[in-house]
Amino acid sequence: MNDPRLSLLLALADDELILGHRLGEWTGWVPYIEEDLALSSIAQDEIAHARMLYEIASTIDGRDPDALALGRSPVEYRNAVLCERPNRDFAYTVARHWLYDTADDVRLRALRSSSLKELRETAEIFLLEERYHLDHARAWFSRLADGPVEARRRFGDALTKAIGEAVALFEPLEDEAALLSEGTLPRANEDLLAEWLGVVGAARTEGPTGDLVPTSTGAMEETGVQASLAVPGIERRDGAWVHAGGFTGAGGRRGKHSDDFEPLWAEMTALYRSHPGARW
Amino acid sequence: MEVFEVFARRTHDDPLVHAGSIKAPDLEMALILARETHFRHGEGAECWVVRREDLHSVPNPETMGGVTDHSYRRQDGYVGVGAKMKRVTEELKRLGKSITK
Repeated sequence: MNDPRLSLLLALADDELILGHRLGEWTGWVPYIEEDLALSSIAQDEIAHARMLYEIASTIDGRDPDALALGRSPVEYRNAVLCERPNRDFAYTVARHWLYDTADDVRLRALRSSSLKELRETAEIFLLEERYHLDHARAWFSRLADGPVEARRRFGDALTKAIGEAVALFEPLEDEAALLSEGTLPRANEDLLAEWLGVVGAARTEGPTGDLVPTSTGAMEETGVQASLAVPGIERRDGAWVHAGGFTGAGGRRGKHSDDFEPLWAEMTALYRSHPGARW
Repeated sequence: MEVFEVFARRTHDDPLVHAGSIKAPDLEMALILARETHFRHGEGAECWVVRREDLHSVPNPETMGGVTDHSYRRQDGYVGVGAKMKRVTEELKRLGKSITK
């Protein structure tokens, strides 16, 4: 990747493709048909967004969009690790979906002033569909966060698991300095991260204040989203949530993936690798 | 879960027609889920939902339109009236007669 623009385009496209693939795994398994259709449809939206981004990347890179989506080796993917994690349960899926969509909203709004015309226009289109994704995610957020004790506990656990890795959606890109100076990326990732933490912090502090409920041992335990606030990498300072510490440079934006990535990659690319050049 | 009936307009100028039903825990979720259940292929320009329990059907529908013979009021007698008029006019012309007002 010589052109700095590719490190941004592939990070955006790979996030959408890999998260879309994970959401697609719910098809046929959601507890009821209406939500099954909604999650599957959102999965298709994300993959359609990935395709548009690969098409832009293709004009710079030279490889066709299918080759970019399915023809790269695992270390060449630039998605954040959050996107590749297994779906676990519905609570984790919703927590990740909400964290991702709120983060995507912040970065897409910023990209509307990118110096790359195609990316600017694409961001505008995505925001139209992402508005629905956000409505969907927020609706489930409040139903789980304000739901029965078990829902609150599982959703709190899920947020705790997901939020540390969601911060890495804003891990600086390999060519971030160049991207900023040429204006392809209008604002630094750390700056976008600070804005996103404001959004997340506001939503979470507006939520239920963490009821104390008796556990099976009789001890009182705090539940709900407030209980999931304390994660490494996020601190409360002067009433605002801020990013604490830096990035180690060992995340998805550098091609460093978790053990969950390779099985996903193997399944996603199996057909493409078995039948090179096949079309449908 | 409640059942909601979903209605659609194909374009903003079209009448509201029934698109189907969905189950949802409340109205907000119904509005979110109806669009993916019935409109994800761009079937309509407007999507409306209403709780099934808020729809009320008229009692005794078998008596709607009346039960006695009202066939006199049907318009069947006017079918082909233009052709009949033409045929009569030609017949009168052949007989050397005409209709005066």
